[in-house]
This record gives sequence, structure tokens and C-alpha cells, in this order.
Amino acid sequence: MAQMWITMGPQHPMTHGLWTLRVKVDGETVVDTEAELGYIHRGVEKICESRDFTQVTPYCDRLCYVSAMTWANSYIYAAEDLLEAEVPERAEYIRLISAELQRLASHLMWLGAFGPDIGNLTLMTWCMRDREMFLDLLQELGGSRMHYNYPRIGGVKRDIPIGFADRMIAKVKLFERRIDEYEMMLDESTIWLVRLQGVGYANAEEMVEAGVSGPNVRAAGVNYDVRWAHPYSVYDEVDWEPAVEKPTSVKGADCYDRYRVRMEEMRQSCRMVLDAIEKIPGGKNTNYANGDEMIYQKAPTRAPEGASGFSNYECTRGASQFYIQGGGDGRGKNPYRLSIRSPMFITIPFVAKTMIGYKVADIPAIMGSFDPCIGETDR
Amino acid sequence: MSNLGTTVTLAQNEEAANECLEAINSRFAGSGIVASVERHSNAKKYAFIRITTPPQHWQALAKWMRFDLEVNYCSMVTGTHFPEGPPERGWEVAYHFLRQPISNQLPDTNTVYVAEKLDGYLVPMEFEVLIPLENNDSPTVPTVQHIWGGADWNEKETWDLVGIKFEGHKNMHRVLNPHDSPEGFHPLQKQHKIRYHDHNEMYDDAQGFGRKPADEGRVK
Amino acid sequence: MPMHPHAKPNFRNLFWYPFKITLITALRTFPIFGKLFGKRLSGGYHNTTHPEFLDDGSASRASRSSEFNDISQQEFAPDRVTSDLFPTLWKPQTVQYPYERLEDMEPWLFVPGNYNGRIGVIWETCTACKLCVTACPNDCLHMTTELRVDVLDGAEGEHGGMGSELEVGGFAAKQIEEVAETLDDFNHVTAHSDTPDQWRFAEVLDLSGSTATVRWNDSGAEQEVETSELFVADDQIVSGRIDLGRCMFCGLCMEACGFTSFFMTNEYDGMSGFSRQDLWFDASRTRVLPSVHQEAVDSELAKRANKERDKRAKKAARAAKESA
Repeated sequence: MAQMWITMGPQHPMTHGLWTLRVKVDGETVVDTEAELGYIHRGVEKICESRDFTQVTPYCDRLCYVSAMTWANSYIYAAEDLLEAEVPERAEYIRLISAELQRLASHLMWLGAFGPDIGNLTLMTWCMRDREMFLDLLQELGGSRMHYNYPRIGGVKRDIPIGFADRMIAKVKLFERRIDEYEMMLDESTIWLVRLQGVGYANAEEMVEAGVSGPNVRAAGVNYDVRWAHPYSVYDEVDWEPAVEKPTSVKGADCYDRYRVRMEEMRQSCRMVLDAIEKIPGGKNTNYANGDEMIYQKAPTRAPEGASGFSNYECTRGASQFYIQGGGDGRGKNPYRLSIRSPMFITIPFVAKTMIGYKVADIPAIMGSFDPCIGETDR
Repeated sequence: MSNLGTTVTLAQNEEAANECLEAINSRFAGSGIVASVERHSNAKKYAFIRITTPPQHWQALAKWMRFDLEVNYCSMVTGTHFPEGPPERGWEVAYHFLRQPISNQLPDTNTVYVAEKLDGYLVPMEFEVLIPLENNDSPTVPTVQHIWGGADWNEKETWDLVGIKFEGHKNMHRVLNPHDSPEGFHPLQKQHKIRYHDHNEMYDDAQGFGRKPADEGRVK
Repeated sequence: MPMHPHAKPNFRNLFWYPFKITLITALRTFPIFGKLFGKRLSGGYHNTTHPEFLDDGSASRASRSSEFNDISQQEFAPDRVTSDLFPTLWKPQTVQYPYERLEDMEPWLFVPGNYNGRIGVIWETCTACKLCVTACPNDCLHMTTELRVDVLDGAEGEHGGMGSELEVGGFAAKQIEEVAETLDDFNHVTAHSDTPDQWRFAEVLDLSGSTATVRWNDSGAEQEVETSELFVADDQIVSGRIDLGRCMFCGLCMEACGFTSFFMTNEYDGMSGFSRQDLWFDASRTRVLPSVHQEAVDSELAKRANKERDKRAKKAARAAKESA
């Protein structure tokens, strides 16, 4: 049969973002692929060279808009490395809670988009309904549902509101029962299994060598999580376990494993949040004023030339990294170079390679199971 | 935490960092490659290795790091332009790596680390390799695309945005800028200013339709 | 398609689960069964005792609560899937905007200091330090001056008379009576325009006794008006505009001001327009809620009046000393 290049163009409902995937098909089988990125390149790295360190934080929310809190936290840790800022413990607990709530919301968004790709439209409505709970919690905490501008260099912007802890515990406990419902619907569903098992094998060693990280690699049986390997925040004081799945085949992790890993991660995030809110220093029903020393410590605002800082952070989709060099405009008030490492930038070309050998109908399953978010890819 | 994976402790991290430093120094001492153990100022203040190397030794160092030091994850490649810097440091390429403890993952198993029991080259470690280049118009660095898969697209992005050429890189192409960007246009070089967005000279409308006469000449 | 080996047809998936779920749902619609067996049947999240959700702040902030939306009576369901009428019946609760508003039903989500809403500025207390302008990452704020009645000049009561006096070549203002009545009904939150002008401004040409000759700004006509009807106006009062088309509601301007004059209200409405110029909100469209506004303005008024009073007292004392 003749071979043909098909363009799943930048505007496509199933690509989870703006990127072009060109597939070469021989009948129904995918023979070659090419990924083209850059459609949503906004030049964040260049813009941030003319912004204060505090003014950069709202830009980092907009990198991966589905998972904004984790990206803002990622930047803040790098800026704290550069500026040598101290962070009070209560602020670290709040950052952990906000990041894990965001992780839950992001995984629900992933599941809510992945389900319809496979054909399960119910998942979309269920996930959006449950995601509303977490968006409301993040709205209470951060001020809006998507772009919060919440963490600050040296702490957080404001403390958890009174009543937030009760609301959060009720919602998280409800959500844990909801995960049971999701699993009841999906785990042994014939269509789900047929479409996801045996599809999209990705070998652990190849993934690590290619630079893939996060839940995609943990689905292949490798227990590597930046939260325990290069610890930050208070992950060593909170009760949790990394979510790792056993791959069933020597060929590596398939889409079903990647789906299971994220369900397990959601359970672990719930567990972390419930534990952290009990252990938070200062109590869960106290509200300290903005700028109070329990939640914020004034940090230096200038970084001399020659100073640099970087941080590794477990974002929802992998290990993200910010590398900031000091000494920019305004006698060091701006960064000289702000460099962002997005896990998805590396993963998407890898995903494109993974698709080779499968059918065209498997493309959305494979693409969706790696959870692409193009906002962070193109920056 | 429960039995599945506790965090890497500070003591383990320091021991591993010193071990790496010794290995590097014993192999590369006196060749222009300078390694040191640096400490983060954030989070738990863990140690990492910073290596500065001249470009001609980079591939040898990279191969050794990959196969002997078992650094298997290339995280980020980026470059910086220093037009007012010293003549020997007009550009700088920064590579960031992680050492991840994985090998031979068998089917139907998972690798479960009790982090406290990791030792030797299994302890996760961060590496930063800085390659200063001369202050000229054609910065070049040998590629490590064949050594780490993760360096591939990162090097494409660095050339695309900063303009540093990677010698030996196969299939170099524009990745974030449009494919038909002009030759030699690399936006993150310092001579390019953002039109209408630099913080001191933004205009509300580029053609000036909405400006009041009293605002003539005002920039903010 | 061939049956997946892990999912052979089995009694549990094809009959038992559907039966159980349908039975539970049907039973739970009856209030008695629901209340009696609810805990066991529903898996424990509906019909359980929920913690007290109304902290004092929320209770006091629920402004417009009707019988159906009285949140102190509403049983809180974390995912909003119950109703007052049939608490055991799962009903998705869509907020019937614009007749219902979420900030009335769940006020803890829209706390004015915490929610990233529209900018509100109390211009009377603004000191024109421009910290907000430098803090904005997107350069949305622009500071200008405008002709207005200063808070001190227009004051009455104990702080009255501490402002400046009418002078020739200066400005004066007269209140427009008809507007004052409409202001009570004006809902500046949802209106897409600013409040109607309350003042009519004029330039003072001549002062003689109890009357002043003024030239009105709007018509250019000259008129003699009683001085008692005129308030002093100043054309160097700080004012400004915000380009909401650029604003990303990050709140850095609010932090830079130190919360004294610059706020983020909890409003998310009334900010749309048909052109980019419509999105430039000038001083009159950046109003804060009068309740918040008044307190701050009163305290600033008292501060300025006291300062002026002290200054006059000192001047009088010095004059008395010199003449003595």
C-alpha cells in the first residue's frame, strides 16, 4: 500500500495542545512520525530578563496553565537558591499542600481529556465535576482558579484561610471515594483494556536516557521521584509513598500502566494533603496576617553577577528545572538569564517515536497517556 | 514515611558528592577541567557537583560521565550570551544532569528503593557542567547527542534561541522559532530587545490611536 | 471485537454492580430510607454530618441571601450535588447566574482581600507614590491628574472648613442634584459604565462678598453663583487608569501599595467592552465598595484635617506671639 504523511495539525482536538504531529502511515500502521513544536512559544525566557524576581512569578503560572502552582513553586525554589532566601516551615507545608492539590486537579484534567480520547465521554464530566472541588480550594487559597501568583520568594503570599482545612478535608475524603468509582468504571472495562493494554510500550532505560521523567517513567517500574531523590519542602515529614507500577512486559510500560500510575498518584496526593494539614506548624485553623514571619521571610531582591541557582522540582508531568543567572538589569534586580526546563519538551519527541509500529487509532491513546501540556513545552 | 522509599539523607548526599569529586579529580586533574562540590541555598541545602570544562575536552568528559560515573539523565542544555564579558567567556553553555539509579528493569517487577540503603553510584546526584566559550561571533561546542538522548532536543533549542552551534549534531533545526526564521536570528542574544515590551518603553497601542495629546513623549 | 482476557463477562460487572447502584439510588430518593441507611448505602459521603463551614467572616459576607439561598440553612455538599428540597436526591446544583451568584452562595471563595478580582482604588487616600506602577509586570497602570473635589475640601461636620478656600483662577464645583438620588440604585459592580457625574466644574473668575463669578467648563457660560453652593475643586488631584486588557490580575500592585489605597475587589463582572479603549478603566470605574471605601476615606480625612488644624493653630500662635 502507498505510504502517506498525514498532518495532525496544530489545531486538533486530540493533541492536548498546539503542536503538529506528522505521521507517515502505511495503510493503518504508523511507520514514521515527526513532531513540530513552537506554536505557543511566547518568549517567556526573554521577557523575564526584563522583570523583577517577584514579577516573574505570574509568568511562571502561565507556563503549564493546567498545573500552575507546581510551576510557580518550581521557579520559586530556583529563585531562593539564587537569592539565598530562607523559608519558614509553615510556608513549606502550605506550599506542599498547594502543590499536591494542584497535582490532583491536573491529573483530573488529564483523565478528563484522556477518557474522551479513548471514547469514554462520561469521564470528562465526572472529572470536571471533581476538579471543581480542587479548583475551589485553590481559589480560596490563591485567589483564582487557574493563575494564582501565590508563592513568594521567602514564603507564600497569604496564609490558609479559616475554614479552609475543614473544607479541604471534606472534599479530599469525598474524592478518595470517587477514585474508587473511577476504578470501578475503568479498571476492568473491556474497551478500556483493549485500547490501552499492549499499546505504546516505552522501556524504562530508554526513557531515562531520553530524558523522560515523572509518572511516565514510574509506570515502567522505576521508582524515581524528585521528591525523595533531591528532597525539597517537607516531603520527608509527610506520610506518602511514590506511586510505581510494575510493567507487565519486557518491552516496557504501556498506556494502561501510565493510567494506573496516575490514579495511584492521586491517592498518594490525597494522603499527603490530609497528613500535611494535620502536621502543619501553627495549627490548621489559624490564619496569620500577610507577611507574618510564620509564612514569609523577607528575601534579598538583588542577585550579583556571577551568582546562579537552579532547582529540580517534581512537576505534574516530570522533573522540571529552572536555572537562573543573576546580574541582570537594575543592578541585579532582574535575572540575567532565566532558563526553563520543561519535562514535556523532551517527552513529546519521545512520544512521537513510541507511536511507530502501532495503528492510527492508537495515536490518541499513546499521546494522551503521556499527558502532554504544550504550554510548558513551548514556553 | 513508610517502607517504600524514604528520602535521600544529607549525609548520603554529601558522601556521594565527595565520591564523585574524587573520581573526577583523579581522572581529569590538570587538564583544565575544574570540579567542585557546591551547595544549594534553598530547600534542604543539598550538595551538587559543578564542573567547568573547556570545549575541547567536553566529549571525553561526557563519555566518561555517562559510562563510568553512571550519569544517565540529561536534564537541560542552555546557553547564555555575555557580550560585555571577558574575552574568554563571551558565551557559556550550561548542561545539567541527574544521576538516576535505574538499570535492567525486569518485567513484572518494580525497583523499590529504600533510599537510605542506596550507596555508591546509586545515590541520586545533580551535576552542572559549564563550558565557557570565547567572545566571538561563532560559538561552537561539540555535541553530546549520541551520548545522552535527552541532549538532542535541548541542543536544538539552545541553537535556536541562543545561537550556539553544536558540532556534529545531526538534524539540527529550528524548534521553537518558526522554521523560516532568518538565518542568524537568535532571539536570546542580548542585542535583541523586545519591541514594545521592555519594561521602560511600552506603548498601549503601537500606532498611537488612543494617545491623548497631553501624553506626548511620555513613556510610563 | 474479541473479548480482552482480563475482562471476561462476569456476574459482578454485568449484573451485580448495576443492580446495586440502581437500588441504592432509588432507595435514597425516599427521605426516610435515605436518612436511615444513607451512611451505609452511599459509602459515607452524602448525608453525613459535615463540619461547620460558616466561619464568621463568611456568614457576615453573605449579603443577598434569599429563602432558597440562605447559606446558613444549606447543607454543604463538597461537590455541590445536593439540594435543599431533597437532600437525599443527587441533583447537580448549577448556579443560575445571573439570578444567583456564587459569591452569595459560597462567600468564602470570594473574600475581597484574597480573591484576584478587579482593581479598586481609593483615590482620596492615594499618595501618588507610583509603587503600584513600577510593580506591575505588564505596565497596565498609568498615573495622571484630574479635576476633582478633594475629600478635605468637600467635608462637612467636625472636619469641615479645613480645606482650601475658593480663589480667583482656581476651580470650583457645584453638585448636580438629580444625580444624587440615582446613585443609590446604581450597581457599579455590573454596570458597564461609570457612575454619572455628580459635580459640575467651573473656573472661578472673580470673588466678591458672598458671590463668585464662574465660567462653567461644560458650557463656557459665565454666571454669578452663591459661594455657599460652591465647593473648592483642584485640578492636580491624583488619578489614573488601568488597562484591563493587559492586566493579568496577579495582585502585585495591591501588595506594593501596602493595602492602604489599592485593593483587589472580589468583582469579576462589568469589565467587558467592545473595543480596547473600553477596557481602559479610569479613576471613576475603579471604585471600591462604599463600605470599605468610607472607612478608609474617613480615617484619611481625619488625618488630613487634624494636620491642617495643627498647622493653623501653630500659625495663629506664631502670629499672636509676633504681635505681642
